Amino acid sequence: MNGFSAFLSKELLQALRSMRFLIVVAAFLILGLMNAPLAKFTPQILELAGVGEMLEGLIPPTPVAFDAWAQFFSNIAQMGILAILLLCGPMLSWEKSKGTLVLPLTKGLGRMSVVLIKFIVMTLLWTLGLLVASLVSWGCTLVLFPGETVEYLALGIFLLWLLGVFLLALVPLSSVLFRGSMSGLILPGAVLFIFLIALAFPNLISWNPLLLGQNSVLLLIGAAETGDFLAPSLVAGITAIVTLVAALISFRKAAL
Amino acid sequence: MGLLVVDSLSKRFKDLQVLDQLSFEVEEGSVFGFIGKNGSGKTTTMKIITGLLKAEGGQVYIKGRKVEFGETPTNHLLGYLPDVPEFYSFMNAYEYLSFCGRVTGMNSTDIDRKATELIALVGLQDSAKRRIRGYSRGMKQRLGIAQALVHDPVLLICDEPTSALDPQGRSEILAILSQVRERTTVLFSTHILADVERICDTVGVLNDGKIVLGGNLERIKSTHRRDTIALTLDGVSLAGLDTLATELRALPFVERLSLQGMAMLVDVKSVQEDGQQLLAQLVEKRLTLLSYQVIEPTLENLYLDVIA
Repeated sequence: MNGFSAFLSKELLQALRSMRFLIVVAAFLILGLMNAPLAKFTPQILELAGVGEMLEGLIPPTPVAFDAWAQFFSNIAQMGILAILLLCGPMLSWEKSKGTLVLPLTKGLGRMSVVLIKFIVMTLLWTLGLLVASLVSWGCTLVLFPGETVEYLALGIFLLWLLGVFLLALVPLSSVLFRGSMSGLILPGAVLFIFLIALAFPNLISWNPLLLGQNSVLLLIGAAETGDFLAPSLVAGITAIVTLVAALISFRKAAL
Repeated sequence: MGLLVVDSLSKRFKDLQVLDQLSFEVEEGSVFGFIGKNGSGKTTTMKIITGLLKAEGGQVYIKGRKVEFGETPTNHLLGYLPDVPEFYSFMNAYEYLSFCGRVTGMNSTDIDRKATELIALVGLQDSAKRRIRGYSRGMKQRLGIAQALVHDPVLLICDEPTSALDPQGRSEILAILSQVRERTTVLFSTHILADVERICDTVGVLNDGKIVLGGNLERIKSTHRRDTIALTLDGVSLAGLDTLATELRALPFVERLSLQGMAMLVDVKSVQEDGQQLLAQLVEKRLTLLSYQVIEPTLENLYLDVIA
Protein backbone atom coordinates (compact mmCIF):
# COMPACT_ATOMS: atom_id res chain seq x y z
CA MET A 1 0.00 0.00 0.00
CA ASN A 2 2.85 2.36 -0.91
CA GLY A 3 1.98 6.04 -1.09
CA PHE A 4 -1.49 5.57 0.46
CA SER A 5 -1.50 8.81 2.46
CA ALA A 6 0.18 10.81 -0.34
CA PHE A 7 -2.44 9.71 -2.85
CA LEU A 8 -5.30 10.25 -0.39
CA SER A 9 -4.11 13.83 0.25
CA LYS A 10 -3.89 14.37 -3.49
CA GLU A 11 -7.46 13.12 -3.99
CA LEU A 12 -8.84 15.34 -1.26
CA LEU A 13 -6.97 18.38 -2.59
CA GLN A 14 -8.25 17.58 -6.08
CA ALA A 15 -11.85 17.25 -4.84
CA LEU A 16 -11.46 20.63 -3.16
CA ARG A 17 -9.79 22.47 -6.05
CA SER A 18 -11.86 20.90 -8.81
CA MET A 19 -14.98 22.04 -6.90
CA ARG A 20 -16.17 18.45 -6.50
CA PHE A 21 -16.86 19.01 -2.80
CA LEU A 22 -18.66 22.25 -3.53
CA ILE A 23 -20.74 20.73 -6.34
CA VAL A 24 -21.81 17.82 -4.11
CA VAL A 25 -22.76 20.14 -1.26
CA ALA A 26 -24.65 22.52 -3.58
CA ALA A 27 -26.48 19.78 -5.50
CA PHE A 28 -27.56 17.87 -2.41
CA LEU A 29 -28.46 21.09 -0.61
CA ILE A 30 -30.97 21.80 -3.38
CA LEU A 31 -32.22 18.21 -3.31
CA GLY A 32 -32.70 18.45 0.45
CA LEU A 33 -34.33 21.87 0.37
CA MET A 34 -37.09 21.18 -2.14
CA ASN A 35 -38.87 18.22 -0.51
CA ALA A 36 -40.71 19.67 2.46
CA PRO A 37 -41.87 22.89 0.71
CA LEU A 38 -42.99 20.90 -2.33
CA ALA A 39 -44.96 18.47 -0.16
CA LYS A 40 -46.43 21.26 1.92
CA PHE A 41 -47.47 23.58 -0.89
CA THR A 42 -48.30 21.18 -3.74
CA PRO A 43 -52.08 21.32 -3.06
CA GLN A 44 -52.03 25.13 -3.11
CA ILE A 45 -49.83 25.21 -6.22
CA LEU A 46 -52.19 22.86 -8.03
CA GLU A 47 -55.15 24.90 -6.86
CA LEU A 48 -53.57 28.07 -8.20
CA ALA A 49 -52.75 26.34 -11.48
CA GLY A 50 -56.39 25.38 -11.78
CA VAL A 51 -55.81 21.62 -11.94
CA GLY A 52 -56.65 20.92 -8.31
CA GLU A 53 -60.05 19.44 -9.10
CA MET A 54 -58.68 17.23 -11.86
CA LEU A 55 -56.16 15.66 -9.50
CA GLU A 56 -58.53 15.36 -6.57
CA GLY A 57 -57.96 12.07 -4.83
CA LEU A 58 -54.43 11.72 -6.20
CA ILE A 59 -52.87 14.45 -4.09
CA PRO A 60 -53.55 14.35 -0.35
CA PRO A 61 -55.44 17.48 0.66
CA THR A 62 -53.55 17.78 3.91
CA PRO A 63 -49.91 16.88 3.43
CA VAL A 64 -47.94 15.30 6.28
CA ALA A 65 -44.25 14.90 7.10
CA PHE A 66 -44.22 11.52 5.38
CA ASP A 67 -45.05 13.23 2.06
CA ALA A 68 -41.91 15.36 2.43
CA TRP A 69 -39.78 12.27 3.15
CA ALA A 70 -41.39 10.36 0.28
CA GLN A 71 -40.31 13.21 -1.98
CA PHE A 72 -36.82 13.09 -0.43
CA PHE A 73 -36.34 9.35 -0.98
CA SER A 74 -37.60 9.61 -4.54
CA ASN A 75 -35.29 12.55 -5.34
CA ILE A 76 -32.17 11.06 -3.79
CA ALA A 77 -32.75 7.56 -5.21
CA GLN A 78 -33.00 9.04 -8.71
CA MET A 79 -31.40 12.46 -9.14
CA GLY A 80 -29.04 12.17 -6.19
CA ILE A 81 -27.58 8.84 -7.24
CA LEU A 82 -27.40 9.93 -10.87
CA ALA A 83 -25.53 13.10 -9.85
CA ILE A 84 -23.01 11.27 -7.69
CA LEU A 85 -22.41 8.64 -10.39
CA LEU A 86 -21.83 11.30 -13.05
CA LEU A 87 -19.48 13.17 -10.73
CA CYS A 88 -17.52 10.15 -9.46
CA GLY A 89 -17.79 7.76 -12.42
CA PRO A 90 -14.87 9.26 -14.36
CA MET A 91 -12.56 9.68 -11.33
CA LEU A 92 -10.36 6.67 -12.11
CA SER A 93 -11.08 6.17 -15.82
CA TRP A 94 -10.17 9.79 -16.61
CA GLU A 95 -6.82 9.45 -14.84
CA LYS A 96 -6.20 6.14 -16.58
CA SER A 97 -6.95 7.46 -20.04
CA LYS A 98 -5.16 10.80 -19.57
CA GLY A 99 -2.02 9.15 -18.18
CA THR A 100 -1.70 11.10 -14.92
CA LEU A 101 -1.22 7.85 -12.99
CA VAL A 102 1.89 6.88 -14.98
CA LEU A 103 4.30 9.13 -13.07
CA PRO A 104 3.24 8.17 -9.52
CA LEU A 105 2.87 4.47 -10.43
CA THR A 106 6.35 4.33 -11.94
CA LYS A 107 7.60 5.81 -8.68
CA GLY A 108 6.23 2.90 -6.74
CA LEU A 109 2.72 4.08 -5.82
CA GLY A 110 0.80 0.91 -4.93
CA ARG A 111 -1.93 0.08 -7.40
CA MET A 112 -4.14 -1.20 -4.58
CA SER A 113 -3.85 2.20 -2.94
CA VAL A 114 -5.15 3.88 -6.10
CA VAL A 115 -8.27 1.69 -6.32
CA LEU A 116 -9.03 1.81 -2.60
CA ILE A 117 -8.55 5.57 -2.31
CA LYS A 118 -10.71 6.28 -5.33
CA PHE A 119 -13.48 4.19 -3.75
CA ILE A 120 -13.00 5.82 -0.34
CA VAL A 121 -13.20 9.35 -1.78
CA MET A 122 -16.24 8.48 -3.92
CA THR A 123 -17.97 7.06 -0.84
CA LEU A 124 -16.94 10.12 1.15
CA LEU A 125 -18.50 12.46 -1.43
CA TRP A 126 -21.71 10.39 -1.51
CA THR A 127 -21.88 10.28 2.29
CA LEU A 128 -21.32 14.02 2.49
CA GLY A 129 -24.03 14.71 -0.10
CA LEU A 130 -26.53 12.40 1.56
CA LEU A 131 -25.77 13.87 4.96
CA VAL A 132 -26.27 17.44 3.70
CA ALA A 133 -29.54 16.56 1.96
CA SER A 134 -30.84 14.59 4.98
CA LEU A 135 -30.02 17.32 7.49
CA VAL A 136 -31.54 20.07 5.34
CA SER A 137 -34.61 17.98 4.63
CA TRP A 138 -34.96 17.13 8.32
CA GLY A 139 -34.70 20.85 9.23
CA CYS A 140 -37.27 21.91 6.61
CA THR A 141 -39.67 19.14 7.64
CA LEU A 142 -39.32 20.15 11.27
CA VAL A 143 -40.23 23.74 10.39
CA LEU A 144 -43.06 23.01 7.95
CA PHE A 145 -44.51 19.98 9.72
CA PRO A 146 -43.84 20.71 13.39
CA GLY A 147 -44.37 17.91 15.84
CA GLU A 148 -44.74 15.20 13.17
CA THR A 149 -42.37 12.24 13.20
CA VAL A 150 -41.73 9.26 10.97
CA GLU A 151 -40.41 5.83 11.91
CA TYR A 152 -37.15 4.21 10.79
CA LEU A 153 -35.88 7.40 9.13
CA ALA A 154 -32.21 6.71 9.90
CA LEU A 155 -32.51 3.12 8.65
CA GLY A 156 -34.22 4.30 5.46
CA ILE A 157 -31.41 6.79 4.79
CA PHE A 158 -28.82 4.10 5.54
CA LEU A 159 -30.43 1.83 2.93
CA LEU A 160 -30.27 4.67 0.39
CA TRP A 161 -26.60 5.12 1.29
CA LEU A 162 -25.98 1.40 0.79
CA LEU A 163 -27.55 1.57 -2.68
CA GLY A 164 -25.19 4.42 -3.59
CA VAL A 165 -22.15 2.60 -2.22
CA PHE A 166 -23.14 -0.54 -4.15
CA LEU A 167 -23.25 1.41 -7.45
CA LEU A 168 -20.04 3.37 -6.68
CA ALA A 169 -18.20 0.12 -5.90
CA LEU A 170 -18.75 -0.88 -9.53
CA VAL A 171 -16.89 2.22 -10.79
CA PRO A 172 -13.28 1.06 -10.16
CA LEU A 173 -13.77 -2.31 -11.88
CA SER A 174 -15.53 -0.61 -14.78
CA SER A 175 -12.64 1.87 -15.10
CA VAL A 176 -10.09 -0.96 -15.12
CA LEU A 177 -11.95 -3.24 -17.56
CA PHE A 178 -12.98 -0.65 -20.15
CA ARG A 179 -11.12 2.08 -22.01
CA GLY A 180 -12.05 5.73 -22.24
CA SER A 181 -12.30 8.65 -19.88
CA MET A 182 -15.96 7.91 -18.99
CA SER A 183 -15.56 4.12 -18.83
CA GLY A 184 -16.16 4.14 -15.08
CA LEU A 185 -19.85 4.65 -15.81
CA ILE A 186 -20.30 1.60 -18.07
CA LEU A 187 -20.64 -1.10 -15.42
CA PRO A 188 -22.82 0.91 -12.98
CA GLY A 189 -25.03 1.89 -15.94
CA ALA A 190 -25.31 -1.70 -17.15
CA VAL A 191 -26.00 -3.07 -13.66
CA LEU A 192 -28.62 -0.40 -13.04
CA PHE A 193 -30.29 -1.31 -16.33
CA ILE A 194 -30.26 -5.05 -15.56
CA PHE A 195 -31.73 -4.59 -12.08
CA LEU A 196 -34.38 -2.21 -13.47
CA ILE A 197 -35.46 -4.94 -15.88
CA ALA A 198 -35.27 -7.49 -13.07
CA LEU A 199 -37.89 -5.49 -11.18
CA ALA A 200 -40.38 -6.95 -13.68
CA PHE A 201 -39.73 -10.50 -12.40
CA PRO A 202 -41.80 -11.08 -9.22
CA ASN A 203 -39.81 -14.10 -8.01
CA LEU A 204 -36.53 -12.12 -8.11
CA ILE A 205 -37.83 -8.86 -6.75
CA SER A 206 -37.13 -9.51 -3.08
CA TRP A 207 -33.38 -9.74 -3.86
CA ASN A 208 -33.18 -6.66 -6.07
CA PRO A 209 -30.83 -4.00 -4.59
CA LEU A 210 -32.86 -1.26 -6.27
CA LEU A 211 -35.50 -1.87 -3.56
CA LEU A 212 -33.09 -0.07 -1.24
CA GLY A 213 -33.90 3.13 -3.09
CA GLN A 214 -37.44 2.55 -4.24
CA ASN A 215 -39.02 0.90 -1.23
CA SER A 216 -37.07 2.06 1.79
CA VAL A 217 -39.52 4.95 2.17
CA LEU A 218 -42.23 2.38 2.93
CA LEU A 219 -40.46 1.67 6.22
CA LEU A 220 -41.38 5.16 7.34
CA ILE A 221 -45.12 4.44 7.34
CA GLY A 222 -44.81 0.82 8.35
CA ALA A 223 -45.76 -0.46 4.88
CA ALA A 224 -42.54 -2.50 4.80
CA GLU A 225 -40.63 -4.39 7.45
CA THR A 226 -36.94 -4.12 8.17
CA GLY A 227 -36.51 -7.80 7.27
CA ASP A 228 -37.69 -7.05 3.73
CA PHE A 229 -34.43 -5.23 3.11
CA LEU A 230 -32.07 -7.93 4.32
CA ALA A 231 -31.81 -9.80 1.01
CA PRO A 232 -31.29 -6.71 -1.20
CA SER A 233 -28.77 -5.37 1.33
CA LEU A 234 -26.85 -8.64 1.20
CA VAL A 235 -26.84 -8.62 -2.62
CA ALA A 236 -25.64 -5.00 -2.64
CA GLY A 237 -22.99 -5.55 0.03
CA ILE A 238 -21.60 -8.80 -1.37
CA THR A 239 -21.57 -7.46 -4.95
CA ALA A 240 -19.76 -4.32 -3.77
CA ILE A 241 -17.08 -6.35 -1.98
CA VAL A 242 -16.63 -8.81 -4.86
CA THR A 243 -16.35 -6.09 -7.53
CA LEU A 244 -13.92 -4.09 -5.40
CA VAL A 245 -11.70 -7.13 -4.89
CA ALA A 246 -11.92 -7.86 -8.64
CA ALA A 247 -10.88 -4.26 -9.36
CA LEU A 248 -7.93 -4.53 -6.95
CA ILE A 249 -6.73 -7.75 -8.57
CA SER A 250 -7.21 -6.68 -12.17
CA PHE A 251 -5.65 -3.23 -11.71
CA ARG A 252 -2.46 -4.81 -10.32
CA LYS A 253 -1.87 -6.31 -13.75
CA ALA A 254 -3.42 -3.67 -15.99
CA ALA A 255 -1.42 -2.24 -18.89
CA LEU A 256 -1.20 1.55 -18.78
CA MET B 1 26.29 -7.17 -15.44
CA GLY B 2 24.88 -3.82 -16.52
CA LEU B 3 22.66 -1.65 -14.35
CA LEU B 4 19.85 -2.28 -16.82
CA VAL B 5 19.73 -5.58 -18.64
CA VAL B 6 17.17 -6.12 -21.38
CA ASP B 7 17.24 -9.76 -22.35
CA SER B 8 15.49 -11.22 -25.41
CA LEU B 9 12.41 -9.00 -25.16
CA SER B 10 9.57 -9.72 -27.56
CA LYS B 11 6.37 -7.79 -28.07
CA ARG B 12 3.73 -8.00 -30.76
CA PHE B 13 0.78 -5.70 -31.41
CA LYS B 14 -1.67 -7.71 -33.54
CA ASP B 15 0.26 -8.44 -36.75
CA LEU B 16 3.17 -6.16 -35.98
CA GLN B 17 6.23 -7.64 -34.28
CA VAL B 18 7.49 -4.52 -32.50
CA LEU B 19 10.27 -6.11 -30.45
CA ASP B 20 12.01 -9.23 -31.68
CA GLN B 21 14.35 -10.79 -29.09
CA LEU B 22 15.64 -7.34 -28.18
CA SER B 23 18.70 -7.40 -25.94
CA PHE B 24 20.98 -4.66 -24.68
CA GLU B 25 22.63 -3.47 -21.48
CA VAL B 26 23.13 -0.05 -19.96
CA GLU B 27 26.22 0.33 -17.78
CA GLU B 28 26.12 2.26 -14.52
CA GLY B 29 27.16 5.91 -14.93
CA SER B 30 26.57 6.03 -18.67
CA VAL B 31 24.22 8.11 -20.78
CA PHE B 32 22.67 5.64 -23.19
CA GLY B 33 21.13 6.99 -26.39
CA PHE B 34 18.30 4.70 -27.47
CA ILE B 35 17.91 5.56 -31.14
CA GLY B 36 15.21 4.55 -33.56
CA LYS B 37 12.78 6.01 -36.00
CA ASN B 38 9.20 6.80 -34.94
CA GLY B 39 7.28 3.59 -34.30
CA SER B 40 10.40 1.47 -33.95
CA GLY B 41 9.48 0.29 -30.43
CA LYS B 42 11.41 2.67 -28.18
CA THR B 43 8.36 3.65 -26.10
CA THR B 44 7.18 0.02 -25.97
CA THR B 45 10.58 -1.01 -24.58
CA MET B 46 10.49 1.74 -21.97
CA LYS B 47 6.96 0.85 -20.93
CA ILE B 48 8.05 -2.76 -20.42
CA ILE B 49 11.06 -1.59 -18.36
CA THR B 50 8.71 0.44 -16.14
CA GLY B 51 6.21 -2.42 -15.78
CA LEU B 52 3.45 -0.55 -17.60
CA LEU B 53 3.28 -3.04 -20.47
CA LYS B 54 3.58 -6.81 -20.63
CA ALA B 55 6.20 -8.45 -22.81
CA GLU B 56 5.42 -11.71 -24.56
CA GLY B 57 8.92 -12.99 -23.99
CA GLY B 58 12.20 -12.08 -22.35
CA GLN B 59 13.15 -10.36 -19.11
CA VAL B 60 14.33 -7.02 -17.85
CA TYR B 61 16.58 -6.56 -14.82
CA ILE B 62 17.38 -3.34 -13.00
CA LYS B 63 20.33 -3.64 -10.62
CA GLY B 64 19.92 -7.39 -10.81
CA ARG B 65 16.23 -7.30 -9.81
CA LYS B 66 13.67 -8.63 -12.23
CA VAL B 67 11.03 -6.23 -13.54
CA GLU B 68 7.48 -7.57 -13.11
CA PHE B 69 4.52 -6.49 -15.21
CA GLY B 70 2.13 -4.25 -13.27
CA GLU B 71 3.17 -3.40 -9.75
CA THR B 72 6.92 -3.95 -9.65
CA PRO B 73 9.36 -3.25 -6.80
CA THR B 74 11.98 -2.15 -9.35
CA ASN B 75 10.04 1.09 -9.89
CA HIS B 76 11.57 2.42 -6.67
CA LEU B 77 14.92 2.36 -8.47
CA LEU B 78 13.95 4.41 -11.48
CA GLY B 79 12.76 7.81 -12.53
CA TYR B 80 10.64 7.92 -15.67
CA LEU B 81 9.83 10.77 -17.98
CA PRO B 82 7.33 9.73 -20.69
CA ASP B 83 7.23 11.48 -24.05
CA VAL B 84 4.18 13.52 -23.02
CA PRO B 85 4.19 13.68 -19.22
CA GLU B 86 0.79 14.28 -17.65
CA PHE B 87 0.67 16.01 -14.27
CA TYR B 88 -2.05 16.96 -11.83
CA SER B 89 -2.65 20.38 -13.30
CA PHE B 90 -4.46 21.63 -10.18
CA MET B 91 -1.14 21.48 -8.32
CA ASN B 92 1.86 23.75 -8.65
CA ALA B 93 5.37 22.44 -9.35
CA TYR B 94 6.37 22.47 -5.71
CA GLU B 95 3.24 20.60 -4.64
CA TYR B 96 3.71 18.05 -7.39
CA LEU B 97 7.31 17.35 -6.42
CA SER B 98 6.24 17.05 -2.77
CA PHE B 99 3.53 14.59 -3.81
CA CYS B 100 6.10 12.52 -5.74
CA GLY B 101 8.47 12.59 -2.77
CA ARG B 102 5.73 11.38 -0.43
CA VAL B 103 4.80 8.58 -2.85
CA THR B 104 8.39 7.31 -2.68
CA GLY B 105 8.35 7.44 1.12
CA MET B 106 10.66 10.44 1.67
CA ASN B 107 10.31 12.48 4.86
CA SER B 108 9.15 16.10 4.74
CA THR B 109 12.61 17.62 5.41
CA ASP B 110 14.15 15.69 2.52
CA ILE B 111 11.20 16.49 0.28
CA ASP B 112 11.52 20.20 0.97
CA ARG B 113 15.27 20.21 0.34
CA LYS B 114 15.02 18.09 -2.79
CA ALA B 115 12.08 19.99 -4.30
CA THR B 116 13.87 23.34 -3.84
CA GLU B 117 17.10 21.92 -5.31
CA LEU B 118 15.38 20.36 -8.33
CA ILE B 119 13.23 23.38 -9.08
CA ALA B 120 16.47 25.38 -9.26
CA LEU B 121 18.17 22.70 -11.39
CA VAL B 122 15.42 22.79 -14.02
CA GLY B 123 15.01 26.57 -13.81
CA LEU B 124 11.41 26.72 -12.62
CA GLN B 125 12.00 29.02 -9.62
CA ASP B 126 9.78 31.78 -10.98
CA SER B 127 6.88 29.45 -11.75
CA ALA B 128 7.15 26.98 -8.87
CA LYS B 129 4.04 28.36 -7.16
CA ARG B 130 1.98 28.63 -10.35
CA ARG B 131 -0.54 25.92 -11.21
CA ILE B 132 0.85 23.42 -13.74
CA ARG B 133 -2.17 23.93 -16.04
CA GLY B 134 -0.57 27.22 -17.18
CA TYR B 135 2.80 25.65 -18.06
CA SER B 136 4.24 25.51 -21.59
CA ARG B 137 5.38 22.21 -23.07
CA GLY B 138 9.01 23.02 -22.33
CA MET B 139 8.22 23.84 -18.70
CA LYS B 140 6.33 20.56 -18.37
CA GLN B 141 9.34 18.66 -19.71
CA ARG B 142 11.57 20.41 -17.20
CA LEU B 143 9.18 19.58 -14.38
CA GLY B 144 9.11 16.04 -15.79
CA ILE B 145 12.86 15.72 -15.30
CA ALA B 146 12.59 17.18 -11.79
CA GLN B 147 9.89 14.71 -10.74
CA ALA B 148 11.89 11.83 -12.18
CA LEU B 149 14.89 12.77 -10.02
CA VAL B 150 13.09 13.57 -6.78
CA HIS B 151 13.97 10.25 -5.09
CA ASP B 152 17.54 10.00 -6.45
CA PRO B 153 16.83 7.07 -8.79
CA VAL B 154 19.67 4.84 -9.93
CA LEU B 155 18.30 4.97 -13.47
CA LEU B 156 16.61 7.87 -15.25
CA ILE B 157 14.52 6.87 -18.27
CA CYS B 158 13.54 9.67 -20.65
CA ASP B 159 11.32 8.93 -23.61
CA GLU B 160 11.96 11.44 -26.39
CA PRO B 161 12.30 14.37 -23.99
CA THR B 162 13.29 16.83 -26.72
CA SER B 163 11.19 15.73 -29.69
CA ALA B 164 8.27 18.11 -29.28
CA LEU B 165 10.30 21.14 -28.23
CA ASP B 166 11.57 24.20 -30.09
CA PRO B 167 15.38 24.57 -30.49
CA GLN B 168 15.70 26.62 -27.30
CA GLY B 169 13.60 24.18 -25.27
CA ARG B 170 15.63 21.28 -26.69
CA SER B 171 18.88 22.93 -25.78
CA GLU B 172 17.68 23.59 -22.22
CA ILE B 173 16.59 19.98 -21.70
CA LEU B 174 19.90 18.67 -23.07
CA ALA B 175 21.80 21.00 -20.76
CA ILE B 176 19.82 19.68 -17.78
CA LEU B 177 20.40 16.06 -18.82
CA SER B 178 24.12 16.77 -19.16
CA GLN B 179 24.15 17.96 -15.55
CA VAL B 180 22.09 14.99 -14.42
CA ARG B 181 24.66 12.51 -15.72
CA GLU B 182 26.77 13.35 -12.66
CA ARG B 183 24.10 11.86 -10.37
CA THR B 184 22.53 8.94 -12.21
CA THR B 185 22.60 6.62 -15.18
CA VAL B 186 20.47 7.88 -18.05
CA LEU B 187 18.57 5.99 -20.74
CA PHE B 188 17.42 8.51 -23.28
CA SER B 189 15.37 7.65 -26.35
CA THR B 190 15.27 9.88 -29.39
CA HIS B 191 15.26 10.04 -33.14
CA ILE B 192 17.27 13.28 -33.10
CA LEU B 193 20.83 12.15 -33.67
CA ALA B 194 22.39 15.52 -32.91
CA ASP B 195 21.01 15.24 -29.36
CA VAL B 196 22.62 11.83 -28.93
CA GLU B 197 25.99 13.08 -30.17
CA ARG B 198 25.74 15.96 -27.72
CA ILE B 199 25.15 14.06 -24.48
CA CYS B 200 25.38 10.28 -24.91
CA ASP B 201 28.45 8.13 -24.45
CA THR B 202 26.83 4.83 -25.45
CA VAL B 203 24.14 4.12 -28.01
CA GLY B 204 21.82 1.41 -29.23
CA VAL B 205 20.11 1.71 -32.59
CA LEU B 206 16.75 -0.06 -32.67
CA ASN B 207 15.51 -1.29 -36.01
CA ASP B 208 13.05 -4.07 -36.83
CA GLY B 209 12.76 -4.84 -33.13
CA LYS B 210 16.46 -5.46 -32.61
CA ILE B 211 19.59 -3.50 -31.74
CA VAL B 212 21.41 -3.23 -35.06
CA LEU B 213 24.24 -1.03 -33.83
CA GLY B 214 25.29 -0.60 -30.22
CA GLY B 215 28.11 0.20 -27.84
CA ASN B 216 30.42 3.05 -26.94
CA LEU B 217 29.82 5.93 -29.35
CA GLU B 218 33.50 6.83 -29.81
CA ARG B 219 34.43 3.19 -30.34
CA ILE B 220 31.66 2.76 -32.90
CA LYS B 221 32.83 5.83 -34.77
CA SER B 222 36.41 4.67 -34.75
CA THR B 223 35.43 1.17 -35.92
CA HIS B 224 33.39 2.63 -38.73
CA ARG B 225 35.92 5.29 -39.70
CA ARG B 226 36.40 5.07 -43.46
CA ASP B 227 39.65 7.06 -43.83
CA THR B 228 38.23 9.67 -46.12
CA ILE B 229 40.15 12.82 -47.01
CA ALA B 230 38.36 15.93 -48.32
CA LEU B 231 40.47 18.17 -50.56
CA THR B 232 39.86 21.56 -52.17
CA LEU B 233 42.33 23.01 -54.66
CA ASP B 234 43.05 26.50 -55.85
CA GLY B 235 42.84 27.56 -59.49
CA VAL B 236 41.53 24.27 -60.90
CA SER B 237 38.53 24.36 -63.23
CA LEU B 238 35.73 21.79 -63.11
CA ALA B 239 37.14 20.11 -66.25
CA GLY B 240 40.63 20.12 -64.72
CA LEU B 241 39.20 18.57 -61.55
CA ASP B 242 37.64 15.74 -63.61
CA THR B 243 40.98 15.04 -65.30
CA LEU B 244 42.80 15.07 -61.97
CA ALA B 245 40.20 12.75 -60.48
CA THR B 246 40.75 10.23 -63.27
CA GLU B 247 44.52 10.35 -62.72
CA LEU B 248 44.21 9.95 -58.94
CA ARG B 249 41.75 7.03 -59.24
CA ALA B 250 44.47 5.13 -61.04
CA LEU B 251 46.76 5.30 -57.99
CA PRO B 252 46.96 2.01 -56.09
CA PHE B 253 46.23 3.44 -52.63
CA VAL B 254 43.04 5.29 -53.70
CA GLU B 255 40.05 3.07 -53.01
CA ARG B 256 37.33 5.46 -54.09
CA LEU B 257 37.14 9.04 -55.24
CA SER B 258 34.11 11.29 -55.67
CA LEU B 259 33.54 14.95 -56.41
CA GLN B 260 31.18 17.12 -54.38
CA GLY B 261 31.13 20.50 -56.13
CA MET B 262 34.70 21.73 -56.05
CA ALA B 263 35.64 19.35 -53.23
CA MET B 264 37.25 15.99 -53.81
CA LEU B 265 36.51 13.11 -51.41
CA VAL B 266 39.22 10.46 -51.46
CA ASP B 267 38.84 7.14 -49.64
CA VAL B 268 42.24 5.63 -48.85
CA LYS B 269 43.40 2.55 -46.96
CA SER B 270 45.19 4.55 -44.27
CA VAL B 271 44.96 8.28 -43.74
CA GLN B 272 48.41 8.38 -42.07
CA GLU B 273 50.42 6.62 -44.78
CA ASP B 274 48.42 7.20 -47.94
CA GLY B 275 47.65 10.82 -47.06
CA GLN B 276 51.38 11.63 -47.41
CA GLN B 277 51.53 10.01 -50.82
CA LEU B 278 48.42 11.84 -51.94
CA LEU B 279 49.93 15.17 -50.87
CA ALA B 280 53.16 14.29 -52.69
CA GLN B 281 51.19 13.69 -55.89
CA LEU B 282 49.53 17.09 -55.61
CA VAL B 283 52.89 18.83 -54.98
CA GLU B 284 54.35 17.05 -57.97
CA LYS B 285 51.53 18.39 -60.14
CA ARG B 286 52.22 21.90 -58.73
CA LEU B 287 48.70 22.24 -57.42
CA THR B 288 47.89 24.63 -54.54
CA LEU B 289 45.95 23.06 -51.70
CA LEU B 290 43.20 25.18 -50.12
CA SER B 291 42.07 22.62 -47.57
CA TYR B 292 42.93 19.10 -46.42
CA GLN B 293 40.56 17.48 -43.95
CA VAL B 294 40.19 13.96 -42.58
CA ILE B 295 36.45 13.22 -42.46
CA GLU B 296 35.08 11.73 -39.22
CA PRO B 297 32.07 9.44 -39.54
CA THR B 298 28.88 11.04 -38.14
CA LEU B 299 26.23 9.17 -36.22
CA GLU B 300 23.82 10.12 -38.97
CA ASN B 301 25.96 8.33 -41.58
CA LEU B 302 26.27 5.28 -39.36
CA TYR B 303 22.56 5.27 -38.57
CA LEU B 304 21.59 5.51 -42.22
CA ASP B 305 24.06 2.75 -43.06
CA VAL B 306 22.67 0.30 -40.48
CA ILE B 307 18.98 0.88 -41.05
CA ALA B 308 19.32 0.88 -44.84
